[in-house]
Amino acid sequence: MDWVPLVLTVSATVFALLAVELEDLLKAILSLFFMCVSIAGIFWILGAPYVAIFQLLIYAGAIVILFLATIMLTERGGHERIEGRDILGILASIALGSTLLLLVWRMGMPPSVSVVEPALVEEGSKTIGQDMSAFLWSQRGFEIILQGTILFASSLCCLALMRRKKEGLEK
Amino acid sequence: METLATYLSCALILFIIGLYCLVAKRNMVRLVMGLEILINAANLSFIAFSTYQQSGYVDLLAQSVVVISMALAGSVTALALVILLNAYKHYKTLDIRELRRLRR
Repeated sequence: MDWVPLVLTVSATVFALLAVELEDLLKAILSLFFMCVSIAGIFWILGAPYVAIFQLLIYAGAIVILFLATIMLTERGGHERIEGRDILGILASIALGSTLLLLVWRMGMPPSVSVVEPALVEEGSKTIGQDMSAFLWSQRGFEIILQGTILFASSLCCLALMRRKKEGLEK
Repeated sequence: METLATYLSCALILFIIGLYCLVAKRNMVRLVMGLEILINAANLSFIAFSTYQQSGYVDLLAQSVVVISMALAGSVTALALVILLNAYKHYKTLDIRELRRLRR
């Protein structure tokens, strides 16, 4: 399963790029959703299931619904297209990104860090961190799933209410 | 085989994409999305460092920091979107440069 982290990192990057570059705001928000799901998968693989569930609840759940509600409440909805590529902005972001990359490259990786395997990949290793994660998940897992269900139901209700309001305005 | 460098590269690319969005885009909704991408990049680097810091040990402090960061990011986004909606009600546009012009 060595390809799963690579697929998740690549998909997170691609969906982030799509979220920024797609003209239709609705599609951009969907891309942001998929980016959040990919990053939640990365968190899960890295041995942080609690953070992964929070990522799914807050980013992929609440924030995406907030974005959807916002583009529904603006007059032209998801079809408003304000596009403009500032060449100076692109150059500035390339320069900043290159500087960051150069800094990271110059700093280098500590030798003890690059050879260490992730915690969950090591089979049979019982550590404090894993035990704590498993404990948190076993004790609070049901509550998180319940919170997610409530959040999802409230999001659906918000969408239904807004749709009804829009239909009423049209009549 | 994945290493710390893979995840840090992903975080760095996400950071650059978010930065590019903040600098180059004019739609306010897209600017908030850029902010979200930036925060996700920071969270990813936190978790990657916490996992690879010591062999077989996932640092829980970084996880709690990231959970708090997520909650704060949710609040910031909600506030930003409310401000955005108010600006839209007043000026009937989401273009940040148009808003700057209308303010004068």
